[in-house]
Amino acid sequence: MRPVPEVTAPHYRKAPPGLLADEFFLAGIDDMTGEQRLEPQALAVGLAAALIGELLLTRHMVIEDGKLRVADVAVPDALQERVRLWVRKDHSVVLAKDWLLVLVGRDITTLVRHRMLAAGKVVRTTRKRLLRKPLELYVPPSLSTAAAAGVRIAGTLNVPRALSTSDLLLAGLLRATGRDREVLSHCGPEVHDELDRQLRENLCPSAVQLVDTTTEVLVTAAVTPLF
Amino acid sequence: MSTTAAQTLAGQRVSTAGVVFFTASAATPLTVCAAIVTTGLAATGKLGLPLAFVIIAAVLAVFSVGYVAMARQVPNAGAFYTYVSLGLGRPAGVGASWVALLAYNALQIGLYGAIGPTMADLLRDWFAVDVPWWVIAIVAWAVVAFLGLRRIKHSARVLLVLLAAEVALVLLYSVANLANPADGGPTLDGLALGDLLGSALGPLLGLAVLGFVGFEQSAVFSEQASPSSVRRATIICIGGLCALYAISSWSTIQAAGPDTVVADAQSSPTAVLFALAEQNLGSWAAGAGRVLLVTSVLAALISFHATCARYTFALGRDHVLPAAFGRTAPRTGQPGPASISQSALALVVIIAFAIGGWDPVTKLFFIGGTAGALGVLLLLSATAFATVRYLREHEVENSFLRKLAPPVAAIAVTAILVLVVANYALLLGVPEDSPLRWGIPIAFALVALGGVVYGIVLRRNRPQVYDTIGKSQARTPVNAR
Repeated sequence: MRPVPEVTAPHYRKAPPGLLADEFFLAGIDDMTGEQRLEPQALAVGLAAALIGELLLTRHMVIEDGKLRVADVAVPDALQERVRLWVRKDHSVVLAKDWLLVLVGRDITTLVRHRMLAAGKVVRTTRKRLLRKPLELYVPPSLSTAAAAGVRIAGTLNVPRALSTSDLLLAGLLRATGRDREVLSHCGPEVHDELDRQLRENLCPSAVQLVDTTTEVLVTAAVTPLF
Repeated sequence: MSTTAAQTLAGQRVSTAGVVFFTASAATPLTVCAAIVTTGLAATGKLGLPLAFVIIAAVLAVFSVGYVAMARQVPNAGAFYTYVSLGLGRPAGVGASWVALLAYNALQIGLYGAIGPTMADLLRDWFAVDVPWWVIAIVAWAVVAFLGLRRIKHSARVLLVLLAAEVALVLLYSVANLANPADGGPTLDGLALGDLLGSALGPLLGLAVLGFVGFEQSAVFSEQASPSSVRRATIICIGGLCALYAISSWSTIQAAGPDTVVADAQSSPTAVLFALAEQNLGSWAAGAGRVLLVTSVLAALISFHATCARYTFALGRDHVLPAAFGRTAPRTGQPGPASISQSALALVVIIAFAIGGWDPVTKLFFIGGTAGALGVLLLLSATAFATVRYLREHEVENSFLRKLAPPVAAIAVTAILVLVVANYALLLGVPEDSPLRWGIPIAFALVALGGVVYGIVLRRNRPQVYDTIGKSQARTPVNAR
């Protein structure tokens, strides 16, 4: 019998905490098919909120009484800096709700996709479909990456342990877009209750307003006929 | 970036024209002219409808002053419901929401009774096939149920084309009618005060309100369009619809002859307008009108379906109905559970009518429509009082018109409501001792009362739910109490 070659465990590195918008984009992806499960408008509003969320988490922005205020300190990330400068230099719009819509209007989805492509977090693929245009997909190299944030959030809530600030905000945005039902679909009601409790108690005031604003924008979109 | 954020934002807003088209197509002008006017003539036997349209338009214009001012301060999806809870207290708001659900469902489901027979007639004339009305109703139902779950872009273009065609056709009919009046030439019959007064006053005004139902949809856009465009759109809609309805109904009376029009209408209510068109313009005009009538009813079905779903959704968010209704589907962004439940209810009613073998036009369409009109009148009245109270406390602009208009509207709408209830049998076209005569008004009263009681129960048992009613529904993520 030949000696079995020694199997070495793959070298796992602890991934650095992802950017909120990237995580949100990945959490919207179906980890079986690679398709984006969020409707384009919900995805765009969610990504806009997540990008503002990134700046909230690093305290470059705050939301006070629904108004978005920004600090005059540069951010290393190019996309974050671009958004920061937009808000910094343009005073024609002040409400966080309106800024979300402005970011949606400036095609935030494409901007975030470009950032993820540049960082190698997603690759662009197309999938042929019967009698239809090929489907354009932006998928992570390993589809399990798409499920990672959901698994992490569900696991932490299940213990229950407090979510990190960035994960809690991500969970809040997933709830605002309705995506939490899929991501947490295998969890019992106690997990949802725990998320409710943490969203109520642990989220900082700016982030609470961000989640509320996102919900408001999406609900308004849901009930207004498209024109 | 060459454009400012404000410009980017403005580019996403709905324009005045967009609000007008949506609102006017929710009122479905051709359905009103072809079906409601003539069934109204048949049921009441009076000619005063053209004048009734003018009076109702005036009342609604006064009403819209306060309504739009409130929409500006409280942009919200469940318009009537939110306004009533803010103006008259939350229990009244819950009552209003239940009435709204019942009224819009009655209107929507009633329309299935119109689309079935109209389309069946067309198929019989064109292809000589006999299709039962309920088969067509179920096909229409499937279309509405499917579209209700989707987010359809470009629907504006379709609506615009259909609406323009409807309006053009109604105007063409009117011109042809006036060019070929019955013996004796055009008279003032229909516009004279004498035609309106008497026991038919209430029913005629009620029917005229039914014609304008849908104008209140403009407030839905208060968040997505600029405030001034909502105001402009509301006024344009009321004025335009008023002119169209009054001219069309008056010219119909002139062409058919004031003495014979009632008998004509009673023999075949939905055919009068098209029979006149065939006689004056040729069969192509009648054919085009009948096709457009089908599409017009379909557009109304879709629009009222959206309204029902929106109310259910708003109530679900406030936890007045189960929270599941307050969810949107992530894949479409539409209020999915609310839409599905409305579709299910409509299907049950269609199947019940198909099995029971009841007449779809007189039983489903006309009774559904008149019951809905009563409910909408009730809501208009409650909303008018709510705007009076709310604006007195919160109004920033203190012009004379703003102060005077809401109370005048409240009194006028309530007076119409009383007149309608007093002569409801005539409006329904049933004898005075029919169970429907009091059954429908009492049903609405009980539903309103039930809602108020439920609101009070909520205050006692679930104060945290009670606190959010009508206040922060757009802001609170569902389940996060």
